[in-house]
Amino acid sequence: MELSHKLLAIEKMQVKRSGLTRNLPWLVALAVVWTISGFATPLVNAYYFSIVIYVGINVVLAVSLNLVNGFTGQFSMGHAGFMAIGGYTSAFLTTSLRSFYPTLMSHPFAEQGIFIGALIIGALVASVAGYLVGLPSLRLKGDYLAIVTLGFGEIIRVFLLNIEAIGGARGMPGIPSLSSFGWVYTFALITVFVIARLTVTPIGREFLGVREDEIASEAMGVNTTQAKVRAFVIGAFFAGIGGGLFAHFLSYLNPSTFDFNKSFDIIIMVVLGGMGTITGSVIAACLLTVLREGLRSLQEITHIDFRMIIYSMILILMMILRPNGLFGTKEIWEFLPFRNFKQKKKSP
Amino acid sequence: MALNTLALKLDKLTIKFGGLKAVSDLSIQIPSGAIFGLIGPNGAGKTTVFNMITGVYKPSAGQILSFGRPIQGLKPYRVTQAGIARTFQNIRLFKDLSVLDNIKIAMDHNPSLPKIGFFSSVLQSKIYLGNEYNKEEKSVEFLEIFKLGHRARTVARNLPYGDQRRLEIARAMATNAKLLLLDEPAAGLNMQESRDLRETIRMIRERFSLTILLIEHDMRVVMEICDRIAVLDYGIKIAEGTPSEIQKHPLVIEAYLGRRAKDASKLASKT
Repeated sequence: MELSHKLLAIEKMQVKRSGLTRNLPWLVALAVVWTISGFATPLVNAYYFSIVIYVGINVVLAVSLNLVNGFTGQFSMGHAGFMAIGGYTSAFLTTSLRSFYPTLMSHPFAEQGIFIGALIIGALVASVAGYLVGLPSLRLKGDYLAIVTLGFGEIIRVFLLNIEAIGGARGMPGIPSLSSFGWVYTFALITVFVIARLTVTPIGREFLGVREDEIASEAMGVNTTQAKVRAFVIGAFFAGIGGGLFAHFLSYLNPSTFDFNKSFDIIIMVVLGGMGTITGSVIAACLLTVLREGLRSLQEITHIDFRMIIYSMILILMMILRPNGLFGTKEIWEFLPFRNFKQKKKSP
Repeated sequence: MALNTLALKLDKLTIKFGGLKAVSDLSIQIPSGAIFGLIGPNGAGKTTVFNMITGVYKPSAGQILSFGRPIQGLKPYRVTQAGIARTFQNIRLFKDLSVLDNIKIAMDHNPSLPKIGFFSSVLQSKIYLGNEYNKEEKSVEFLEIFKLGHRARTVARNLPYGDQRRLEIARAMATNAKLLLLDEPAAGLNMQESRDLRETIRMIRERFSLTILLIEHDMRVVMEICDRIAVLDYGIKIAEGTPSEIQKHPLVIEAYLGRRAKDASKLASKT
């Protein structure tokens, strides 16, 4: 009895501490990102800089996939497909705008604005695709759903391969290089913010219910079809953002980038971090991205390409030692030894 | 009896699976506020009836009315939103979520609480937080009614069996149900837990002016708490009446209780 009253007291405190105060830490983080972007970016060498950017993009992709795979329990293997749609759409918009209205794109503010607009349009198109995949896939569970989404990813890739307007198999060169550190990490923050917050709302609780027991959820009044489609749409939206950031960093897109290996890379991050943990996905995305590059230096010393062998060994070991991923379904602060009641409560 | 005071009316409900008539021409009327028992041997079709009421199966023929409103053919979540909640024969909790979250998921669809939009939720506006606080308060209240308040943060899978059963009932009630369907709530409970359960069922009926339809094999539970009982055998209703009537009913004794008793006495006389 005592415990539950304590719990209510905490909740009451949180209601009072609402509005700007609750969102303030995130705004501070955003300010930090742009400060670093302003001062530190020119100081870092281009190679390390690219790793940092890929970390940010992978955070976006892993966290958004975790919403579908981890929180809603729908095993999707088509994340690269959504990423491709977002990437190609936004890249097509910015490149064609630049070639038709070169003066407009030469203005820095207009350029940034168009970039963000293109990213969001790309993400919206990706989420429409998410809706279309989500609908027929809803009758399917587990392995069957995985195969359908895998097939969907391949369809997207082959489709892109055959559109001449975006270069087909030659790829799409000359995409304006607009993904700055600031924007990549702004979107990484937004992704983490939205998805972390979502999981504690009624909408997010529906996702968890669907994961835990679909029949019981439905008996509790959850429209499970709607919940699953929502998860797919939101997941695809952020995958589209990730794709757009990727396209505008690399300045070149090729359909073969978005094959199922790319989907697997993201799945590995989610599984390694733990299905249903946002901090786990973030940390796994950082670790794996850095690891793949870090192993290159080993190659320089030994002159043998051990990279993929070591990478795979680490994954195998991880799965043996921690089968539920780094954090399982917990967030990082749930492991802290001095956690008290407040920290135990998920309050992202 | 006016139609709208009937919490549930099954009218010639029939379902066929291929050539098999699992339930045929079942008619039951449950007045508001009653505890109604549905019993019968294994495979008699009791759970099938539940599944038809809750929209998991679509009846082949017949009508289901709840408080005068036809509900047959509705999707399960719509049936729940119409005020009918259920528990399951094999407990179906959200096992990896906390006890409190189990209740909250049900509470999210309680029509008496407002729904908050996506952006308001994500940005945690004051309205959203206030609403969540109300929900939490109500959930904790619910848990305390069911003597689970001290377990609020426990992961559901770690609860003792009896508590899991109670949590399932609490969760069903949190959907704002007016009619509760309990599928073998006493299965697997020990004597003490079973006694607690009977108390709980009586208590929630009083407290929420609830109507309960109950499937149960534990005769002590059925005979003690039910106002009326219907007996199913091979999908056909063979008897209906008060507990004492049912206990004396020849068909029931033959189909269900008697045959076993005869076998038992035969066995006993042989040895």
